[in-house]
Amino acid sequence: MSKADAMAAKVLPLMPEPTPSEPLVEVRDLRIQLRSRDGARLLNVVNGVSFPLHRGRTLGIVGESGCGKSTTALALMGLLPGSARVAGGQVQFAGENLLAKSEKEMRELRGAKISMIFQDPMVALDPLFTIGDQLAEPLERHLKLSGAALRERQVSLLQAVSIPSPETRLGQYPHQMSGGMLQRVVGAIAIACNPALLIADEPTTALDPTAQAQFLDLLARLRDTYQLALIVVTHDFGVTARLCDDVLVMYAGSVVERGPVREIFDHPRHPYTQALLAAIPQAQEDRQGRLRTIEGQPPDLARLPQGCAFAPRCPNVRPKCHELPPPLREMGDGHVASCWRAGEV
Amino acid sequence: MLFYFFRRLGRALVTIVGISVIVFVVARLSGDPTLQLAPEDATPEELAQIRSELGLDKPIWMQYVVFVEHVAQGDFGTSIRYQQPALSLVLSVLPATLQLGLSAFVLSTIVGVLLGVVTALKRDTWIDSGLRGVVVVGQAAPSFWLGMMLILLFSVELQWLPSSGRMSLAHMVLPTMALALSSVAVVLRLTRSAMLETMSADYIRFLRSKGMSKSLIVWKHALRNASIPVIAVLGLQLSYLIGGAVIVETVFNWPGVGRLMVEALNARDFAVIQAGALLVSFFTVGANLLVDLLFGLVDPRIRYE
Amino acid sequence: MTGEIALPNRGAAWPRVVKWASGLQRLPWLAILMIAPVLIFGVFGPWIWPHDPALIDLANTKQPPAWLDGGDWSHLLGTDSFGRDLFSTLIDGARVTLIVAVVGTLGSALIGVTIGLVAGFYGGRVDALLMQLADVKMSIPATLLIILLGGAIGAGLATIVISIVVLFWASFARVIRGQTLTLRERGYVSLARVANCSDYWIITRHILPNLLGTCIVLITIQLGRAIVTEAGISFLGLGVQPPDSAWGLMVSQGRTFLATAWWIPAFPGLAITLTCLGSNLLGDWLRDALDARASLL
Repeated sequence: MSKADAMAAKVLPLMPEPTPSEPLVEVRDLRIQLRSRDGARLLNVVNGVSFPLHRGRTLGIVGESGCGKSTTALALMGLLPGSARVAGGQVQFAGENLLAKSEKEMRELRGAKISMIFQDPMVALDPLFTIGDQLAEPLERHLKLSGAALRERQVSLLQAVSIPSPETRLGQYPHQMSGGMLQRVVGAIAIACNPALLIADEPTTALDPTAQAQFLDLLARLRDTYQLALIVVTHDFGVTARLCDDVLVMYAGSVVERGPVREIFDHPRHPYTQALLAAIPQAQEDRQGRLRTIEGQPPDLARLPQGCAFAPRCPNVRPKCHELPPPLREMGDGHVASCWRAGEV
Repeated sequence: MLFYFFRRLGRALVTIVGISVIVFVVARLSGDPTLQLAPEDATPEELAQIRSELGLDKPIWMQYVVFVEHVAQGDFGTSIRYQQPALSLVLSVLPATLQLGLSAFVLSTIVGVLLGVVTALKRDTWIDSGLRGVVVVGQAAPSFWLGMMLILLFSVELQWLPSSGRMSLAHMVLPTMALALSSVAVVLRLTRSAMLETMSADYIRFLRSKGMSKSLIVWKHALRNASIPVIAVLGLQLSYLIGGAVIVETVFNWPGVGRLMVEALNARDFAVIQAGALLVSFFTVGANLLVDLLFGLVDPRIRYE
Repeated sequence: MTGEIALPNRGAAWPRVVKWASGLQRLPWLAILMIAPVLIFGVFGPWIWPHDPALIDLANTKQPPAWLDGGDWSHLLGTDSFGRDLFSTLIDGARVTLIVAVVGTLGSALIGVTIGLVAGFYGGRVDALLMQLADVKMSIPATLLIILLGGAIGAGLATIVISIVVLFWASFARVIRGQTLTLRERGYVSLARVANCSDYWIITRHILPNLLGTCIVLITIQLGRAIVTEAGISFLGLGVQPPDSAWGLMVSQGRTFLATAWWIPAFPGLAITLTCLGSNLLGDWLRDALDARASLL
């Protein structure tokens, strides 16, 4: 255990371990519709997403921009934009359906039991207030801390995310800190009230490479120390490989493949997953080869094809693919994929 | 912060010098004051003597230096009409003008910001469109005409409020309203658009993800951020309102600088006009400096510049 | 044969007419309706007014508007203290109001845009000096500047125009300077510099055309403000002198009759308000319309 871990463990006592069989989060057939910009149509931006998530485990949600991964994350927080609405499904969290909760009830959970980290740390904090002030807000609200106890907790939280000289930092403003440092502050605020679930939406996209690696390590450490259930939304398989236990690949609002991270990397069953993996630039092998890309464009959600949404871009498409959308099929070892030819590959 | 303050102070001083130049030059445009002072049957020699007494035979820049020297010593010339120092005349009525201008300023800022927040939060509802409709009309109406219509409604028809003079607090209501309305419109529109912009900012979403209450998000974070562009125009508004007060005073017989200056204008009492313009402008520059300090208080990025 | 050829042409023309009509629907009719009177009255006044605006009728003074007791339809808006038809004097006053507002606004636009361009394009000391000048101007309350100018050059049409120019140039200069600063950094301007184009060429060919939309919006909005400013100047007695007439002067003269014949100051003021409102609305609409076009390009 590193010094920071020891410090963190002192601050945040471990929550009682839930029974291993019982997932903390269980999303079932989540459907979300978005009103199109002209207000005339409803687009199915999330189309039947399901997954379980246990404490101490990490799920990566992967896909191109606009595939519905961020919308799924926001739905879990109850922070969908006004133009979106939940059209069906359940989000079970510690035995309760979050989708049935009122805004007021959700407000009690947000920041306390469920927290979120957003993409760009440079704009995630209010520029007019000190780090300390913004760190104190959830502590005052959810844990009712004040005075010396509040101060002590603020300092130890900054220590938990490896920020040096926390006493000084508390009095500083966001513009006085670097992006990597700010993302740690955002992380500290997110874990301030000892949440059970942490959602990170593209947490490293806006950071420089060194800060990216450091932040991913930090997330892993926080997850292990506090037994967090962690959801990482990303377009980057590198992040997934480094952090996740399970991966969920989304395409055009639907889950195309889900499974343990090794399974997905070693035996991707869906041609979209295969294409994504092939598109990762390789440092060692294939130096002469050109970077591979996926032919075609992501589909327009307003004009989804009748059959498989990936069919128009699929290299090994069959006539059946154009007729019926493929269901998610069990491939063994908790690995599921929605492709008519998943069994063949 | 100190650096920021001194830079602003420097700019304010330059502005004051600029104002004095403009006032001086415009005053010289008004013609040869010798002819006003001299008896009608004065000989050219007598005129020349008066000129050299007044320093008008010196080059123009030296005249300006003399003018500045006098102003610095508090000598703004003598009123032809009252045979009194122009400075004391203006100072005796300045409080009335500042009272009117400042109360309209406070009123329009508070009301404009509040309504701006309300219209932003109730975007595209009837409250939003209704309030914006009213202030858009208010912004278009000339303040003196608005003042007359207020007198017509509240003094002549309803007989609720006095229409003229400066005896009691009730006397302030109508002129303040007439003056403040167009400024309310400016502040409201600016606050509304700034609020809409900040409410869609990322840090607001992060605050929501922290479980913060809506009132805390709106009044602590969004409003404070939205206030920055609003503060930026407050100085301009103040200058506008003090200037507007000068006209509205005429309608309500408010004994302020405006009335004094209009009278001075009719009597071609240029020392008074010059003193009034200089003093009120100096006050505006000072108030603008305060607004700049307010900027520093609200925005740490300026404080640490 | 010819009929067959003509058919597809006519067919192609129809959508254009429909498109044109639906485009008309999106025009800001309310704003146009508010501005149209001052334009029509100002230009065609003598052919429109129901009575000679100078015709004094002492037997018929302070007659209320037609719809009130004692009013009659030959004097739609009533008569003033000399028995002149208020509607006709309003139409007559529109001419001076319009001339002053247009000349004043265009004058301030010319000076303001030039200064803004020079300041924004050359930057450095020129910029600092010109913007300091704008700062100085903004620090002197408008009314005081008017009184100062009025005291110096006396009352009259020229005073109004000069005052409007002195008051408004800085608003043009600030906006244009800001936009020039951003335009100056555009790629095609750098390319033009590399190609050794003269400053004059770059400004007139690459920068000015991009500022045209902004100028039109600013001029539209300032036109309304100019009418209000004219009213203020006339109200202070520094504008047009009787027997000439302008709306601001009519409000000022009508002030004495507020309690006895409210319509005398009310209607000219209403005309000022509506015109200014119309020009504000039209300016807002133009800004949105031009913005939409800019984002399409």
